[in-house]
Amino acid sequence: MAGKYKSRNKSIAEQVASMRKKYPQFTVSFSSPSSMKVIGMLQPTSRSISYQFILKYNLTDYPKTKIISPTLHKNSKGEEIPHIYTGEKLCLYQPKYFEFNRKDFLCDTIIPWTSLWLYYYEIWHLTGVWLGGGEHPKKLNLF
Amino acid sequence: MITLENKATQIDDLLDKMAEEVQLDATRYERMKNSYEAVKNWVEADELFFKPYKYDVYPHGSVRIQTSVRPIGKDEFDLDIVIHLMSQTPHTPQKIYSELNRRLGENEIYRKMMELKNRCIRLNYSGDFHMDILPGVQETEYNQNKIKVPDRELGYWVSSNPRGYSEWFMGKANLVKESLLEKAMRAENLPANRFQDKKPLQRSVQLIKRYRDIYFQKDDTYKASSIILTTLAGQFYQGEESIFETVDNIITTTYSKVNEPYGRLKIVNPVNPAEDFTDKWDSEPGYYEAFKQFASHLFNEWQKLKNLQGLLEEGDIMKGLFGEDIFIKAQTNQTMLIEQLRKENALGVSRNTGILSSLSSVGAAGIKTNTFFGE
Repeated sequence: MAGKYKSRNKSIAEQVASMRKKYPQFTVSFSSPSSMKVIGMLQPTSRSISYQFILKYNLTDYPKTKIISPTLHKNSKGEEIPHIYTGEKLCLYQPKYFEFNRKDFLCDTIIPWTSLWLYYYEIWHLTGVWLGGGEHPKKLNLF
Repeated sequence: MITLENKATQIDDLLDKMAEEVQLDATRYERMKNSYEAVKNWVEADELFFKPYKYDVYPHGSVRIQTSVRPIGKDEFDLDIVIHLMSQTPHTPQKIYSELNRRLGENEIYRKMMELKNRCIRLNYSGDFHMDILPGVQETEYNQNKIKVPDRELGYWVSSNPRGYSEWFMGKANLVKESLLEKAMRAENLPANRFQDKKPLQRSVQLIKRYRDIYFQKDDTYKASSIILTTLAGQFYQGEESIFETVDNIITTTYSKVNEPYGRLKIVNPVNPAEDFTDKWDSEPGYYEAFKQFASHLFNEWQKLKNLQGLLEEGDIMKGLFGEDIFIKAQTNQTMLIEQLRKENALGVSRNTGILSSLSSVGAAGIKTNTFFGE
């Protein structure tokens, strides 16, 4: 049953195959039998530049996406880029809502979300506001 | 919904939204209309002079052709209206002017708002708009647009044709059957009402006037007048479908004309070629010099917009040309519509490029709901 296929965890081989099928222009490779790497270009709007990204994924960790070029930068007011983890990894989804889980294909989730993230990143530069919504981790008040 | 896969519609949508930010709003237009109807009624009820005559009262200028722009730092619009005496009267235009002055002065409220100008009487609706009332007498029976208006400095009357000018301009604006934005809306089966009443030429005039206000903000000694900008835009317009191309054609033609080796650019009244709107450019050459620099600057910036790659550089240029505030508002509005699509799960992403598009586009894949997280 199709539903059954949909609802089971995907192997790295399945992730690699689906990524190659949907985005044949990306460079998709196995880093080990249980991990993979994708390098490609994404352009969020027709008036935007193209950004090169790298996506690394292994079955025991969250997928990690980084923009390789051009370098992401603070806005003209010197404010830090929103929705980014240390190491410049993009915060694309809220882990506690399982918006991505091992049953999902990366090509249907992480890739479009990266494009969306880039769009809101550009709009943040233009308007000074992150218009894509989202959540921020609660800061612990130690005092 | 204008989505992001087409370069030309994306920028036109933004230009359109910027013009919308500076234009006359519908509620104020209603107030203007009520105000000039009230003036009309007051004048018509005048037993001493006006009552026996037949009139028409109508707006002319930017309100009539829908190219009004809110001035920077003020929230006041200009409203030009004509009190047009229909049939020939035995009176001179000067007589009409002084009778209008008397009649308005008899009204407690109008008396406090009045200001006498060379050809018209101004009523100041403080903080809202000012109404310039031009009294005129129809020149001939057969031409219903031409009127004689008083010129107090000349001590004589001059010929004017404000309604004819509006007809000329609207004829130019309607050279295009369906604009790029209208087409884009139709392609997505969405009602295009919003664009039907504003053609690319009207939008371009609004944007060029707004650019003029920004450009001459620090020093307005030689500020280019709206009538010159509106007329040259109408004259050079070729029926382009997009706002971007319309501005491009107008500014390219202007740039090449002001850089011709001899003579100068002349802008005459299209409905009265004897009237040169730019005659001041001879007596005070500083105006022409300033105009040349103003035109060259817009031309150069537009070339950059044509050649640039990247939203960020483009945004910087547009902020410089039209003002940061209206750019941010327009960009935010555009993004909020995209955000709406995203919430409705109607946003897709192109598999070739990653460009965001509507889900109905060919080759677009859907986007699962996500919540951006992190610092």
